[in-house]
Amino acid sequence: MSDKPATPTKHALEDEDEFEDFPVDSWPSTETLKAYKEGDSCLWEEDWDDVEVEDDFTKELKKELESNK
Amino acid sequence: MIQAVTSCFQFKRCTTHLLEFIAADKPMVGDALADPSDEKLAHFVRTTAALKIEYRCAQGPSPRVFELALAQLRALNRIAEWESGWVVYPLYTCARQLVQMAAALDARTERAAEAAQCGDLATEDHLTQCGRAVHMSLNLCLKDRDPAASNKRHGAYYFALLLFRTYARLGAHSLVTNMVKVLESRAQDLPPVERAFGERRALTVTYCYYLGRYHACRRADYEKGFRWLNTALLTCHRDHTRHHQLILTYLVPVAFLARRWYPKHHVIAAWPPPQDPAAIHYAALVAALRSGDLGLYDRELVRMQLPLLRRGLYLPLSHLRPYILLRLVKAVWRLSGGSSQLPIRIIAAALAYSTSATPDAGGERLLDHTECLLANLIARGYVKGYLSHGNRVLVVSRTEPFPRLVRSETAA
Repeated sequence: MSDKPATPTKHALEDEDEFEDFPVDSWPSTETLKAYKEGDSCLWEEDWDDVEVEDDFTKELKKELESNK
Repeated sequence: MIQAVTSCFQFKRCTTHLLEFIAADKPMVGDALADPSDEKLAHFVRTTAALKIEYRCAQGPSPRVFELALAQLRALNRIAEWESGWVVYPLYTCARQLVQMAAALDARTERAAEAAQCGDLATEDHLTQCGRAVHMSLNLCLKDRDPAASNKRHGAYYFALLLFRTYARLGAHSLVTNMVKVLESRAQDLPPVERAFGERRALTVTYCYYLGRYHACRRADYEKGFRWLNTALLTCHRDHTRHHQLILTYLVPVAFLARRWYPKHHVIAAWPPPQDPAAIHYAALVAALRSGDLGLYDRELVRMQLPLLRRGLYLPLSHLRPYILLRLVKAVWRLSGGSSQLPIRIIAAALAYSTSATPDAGGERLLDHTECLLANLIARGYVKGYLSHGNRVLVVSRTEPFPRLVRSETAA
């Protein structure tokens, strides 16, 4: 924001994101994200119980466990 | 113009004439000669006319403009007390204008005070004064006892929305708590939020965003937080990506805590790449939630510490840790062939590996620490089994070692 050294101010630990006003107050229900994405299924994964990842971390972990047997 | 304004009050309807009359930056059309006969209305008209003139002279908000805008809201408050629901939107427009002016003036004073290196502000800030007047508007809506559908009780949400914003800037958390309690205690007299705002979806989104944040970050009530924030997101206009990101900053951790849902790749991948190395960005965190990489999670929490604290998100995010630990235990169980007996030594090794801790000599302390963490997971019901301390073994259920934790919408 400024290039001055940061000085503690009264808002140092307070809300930073201003939820800006929208350019308009109204829009039809057909233009909402819900109508566009058809609800939650396009936004969220619900497979956390079953997900099995094979990323670098998991591969390294496997090696680590084998060396500990 | 005055004629058109007077007829709004006469016929109990809000027109663009009235909204433009309220706006300080819109010039007066015609003259103010036709003073309304009603004394309260005449006072409102005179104050507004003076506000418009002062605003034009000062070319924007000034302390004097603020005083007149405050007087305008008080004048309209007095009229609104006797009016029905039609008055809510013009009154809201008037109050919103005041909040915007107060915020601009206080930001200016703060910058000046910072530059002058002086301490507390000598005078009461504009937002505090403005908050009291808007609170009057909220109260007069709540107090409306008219049983007819045309009452103005739905207006309570309109002014609560403005007060959320005002109190957030003031950091006045106890005032938010009081206001939410009052609204909750009157819930049976108030219409549902989405009906109260109707087509004005921008207001539904803003109200739900602030209320969701309050429940999630101040009360650690993730279920309520999730419901409000999710409504905010889904009601948002599909093109307002900046607002999507602001809502998701809160919703991503809360959706996991309430439902064990995590965002699809495209949802957070679309966020603009952060300039600031400490900016909130959840891609790595989501990867840790999937893989059980506890070290990655710990590093992310340190990296984003300050922005998370500023937003009240540090506590919700720290509540994610047991789930990542659980993920790690589950990975160890799977990689060791899914046996019902898991030596604590193996889990401790995984824990030390993921957090890059060096297992201390003998490892007794590490084993005790691991048992303690596992005992917590068992107590929470995340792992079905027991600890055999003597054998240093975790014995898990053969049928369902890891009960399902994801809550789908239908089951919720």
